[in-house]
Amino acid sequence: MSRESAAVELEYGARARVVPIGATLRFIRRLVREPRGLIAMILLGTLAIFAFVVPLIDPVSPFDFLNVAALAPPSGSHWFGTDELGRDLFIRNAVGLRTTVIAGVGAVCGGWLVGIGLGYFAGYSGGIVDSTISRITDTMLAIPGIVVAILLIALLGTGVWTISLSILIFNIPISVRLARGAVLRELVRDYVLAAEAIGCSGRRVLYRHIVRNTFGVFAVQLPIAIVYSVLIMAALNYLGLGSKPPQPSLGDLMNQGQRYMQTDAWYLVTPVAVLVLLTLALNFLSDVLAEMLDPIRRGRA
Amino acid sequence: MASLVIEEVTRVRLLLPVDVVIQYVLVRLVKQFVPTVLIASVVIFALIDILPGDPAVIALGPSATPEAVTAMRHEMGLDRPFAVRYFSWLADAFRGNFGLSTTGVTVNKLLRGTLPVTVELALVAFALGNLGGIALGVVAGANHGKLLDIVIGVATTCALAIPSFVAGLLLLLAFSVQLGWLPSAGEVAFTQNPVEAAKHLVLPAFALALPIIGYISRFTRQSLVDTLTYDFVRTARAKGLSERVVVFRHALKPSLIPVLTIVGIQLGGLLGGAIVIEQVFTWPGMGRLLIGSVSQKDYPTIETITLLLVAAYLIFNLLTDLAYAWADPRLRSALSGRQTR
Repeated sequence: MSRESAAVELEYGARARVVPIGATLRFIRRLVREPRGLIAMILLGTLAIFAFVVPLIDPVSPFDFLNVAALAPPSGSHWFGTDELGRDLFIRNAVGLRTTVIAGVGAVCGGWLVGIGLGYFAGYSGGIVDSTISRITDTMLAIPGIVVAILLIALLGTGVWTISLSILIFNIPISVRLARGAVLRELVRDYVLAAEAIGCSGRRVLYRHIVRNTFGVFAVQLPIAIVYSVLIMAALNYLGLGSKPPQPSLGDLMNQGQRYMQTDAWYLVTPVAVLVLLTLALNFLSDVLAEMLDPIRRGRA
Repeated sequence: MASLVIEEVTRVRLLLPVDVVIQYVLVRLVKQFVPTVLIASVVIFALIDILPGDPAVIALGPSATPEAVTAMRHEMGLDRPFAVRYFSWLADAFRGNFGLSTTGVTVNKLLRGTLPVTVELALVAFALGNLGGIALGVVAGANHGKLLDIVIGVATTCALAIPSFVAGLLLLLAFSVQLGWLPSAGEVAFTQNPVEAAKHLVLPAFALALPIIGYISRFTRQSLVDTLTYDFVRTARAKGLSERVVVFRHALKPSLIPVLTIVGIQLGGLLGGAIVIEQVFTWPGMGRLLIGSVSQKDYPTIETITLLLVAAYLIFNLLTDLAYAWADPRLRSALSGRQTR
């Protein structure tokens, strides 16, 4: 094989290859060799078990008013203590984390699907389509995310769904801009020219060639977007704009815990600790991913 | 043309750039700032307008007769077309008249009570964040690779990762509940009791400043570390100057220029963060007013506060862009060229 065809193979190969399990394992091994990556994976694994396994196997329900003293401190039977109604705080934190994570991640994924689609469309179409979409995106990005969210909640009423929807909506412009920028960078590459020269339709160039070459950009930005969205979600719940009792979320637990902080500090400390561990882990993960996927920064390290 | 500008810049540094900068400001204002504010105001006004619930009916109560509602709609101007109502709202807003809130008080009166309190908090947090961040960054950069640098690095990573309202809750727990040093809620005017005012201000301002401290200190550290690799630093060291003189006399000033360009963007983020922080510390500012208005469905107040927040955010972004333009690499190279001589 000549050198030219190898180079072409390389550019085309990147899109055609299905990622094998071996490569995924190698990637994870590289990730955990980095101390921060290891910490992030351990924390995320523990939190995942806490949020998704504990509620399934713990016999205590988050809604049961147990026959114990209200606001009991942490003990062998109630690891995080109990709340003002005598409910077990360990299981309430677990369910609260699950609610926050599912709603946050779901909203980010929904927003990014819409945004990436629009961004590709805008970048590839160019012209008036591009300038219209970009103009709207710029306006949305010019408004702080939490203000967009509060405005939407003011309109649609409070609740988990409204919060998720508002987080979904403010994730759209961020991902539109990322995807559009990625497409514009790829459009000038030789392989796009080659694909167009051999008569590929616009749709085929976009889907088969450009989309698969721009995924790395999103891998780095996604954990950051998830952190940001989970935090805004917790903040909105803390402000009392989210889930209705008795369904717990991390923000609600903090809000409630603050009322009793003078005498029962653990009530506030436990949800705060869970949220801090989650954000630290996701931050570490996005840092390490950025270093691993960015050849320039990798070379420097 | 461009090279001509640079040559002119090195000789008469102030004359030409002012020209260029004014042109740049005008372009940015006309092409970006004004349209974005207008679009945002249309969107905010339209969103509130399409809400179910007729303000005239709300004002009169459910038992009002249709004739009374029609008369009230006319009196409130609701029977005019959308565009007319929007422009009269916008014109009033420009004149600083934001109408009547649903609580019966004018929005202006509500703002007069809350806006200065929020501005006070934001400005103190802004100063604290930037000064603290620069100080930490300089210490870390001057000791780069040593233990102190690593400790500061870990601390700033945490400051960036932990959201300010969560940090606020932790500070509250530590300093007002456990140690009992500082009050946990409320605000005292500086004119009444400066000591008490400072005591009430320090925790919320610090919580709000934490992300800025993290961001600015990392940026400052990197900038200083980069500057320390320049030739003029090597020359200074070769002359036998002490490390302290090299860092503070020679390297510090050029390394702070890029830092100055990013301080402005923090103010926009501060306003968003203040909404939640005010709730944590029961700080009676605009953020608490906004959240209270959301639960009371006081739409004129919501409209006004969101519009003000958007406008403020855009102004700070504009100022940041101007700072970037001012610290343009071509200009900067001309400046640092002067310093190495």
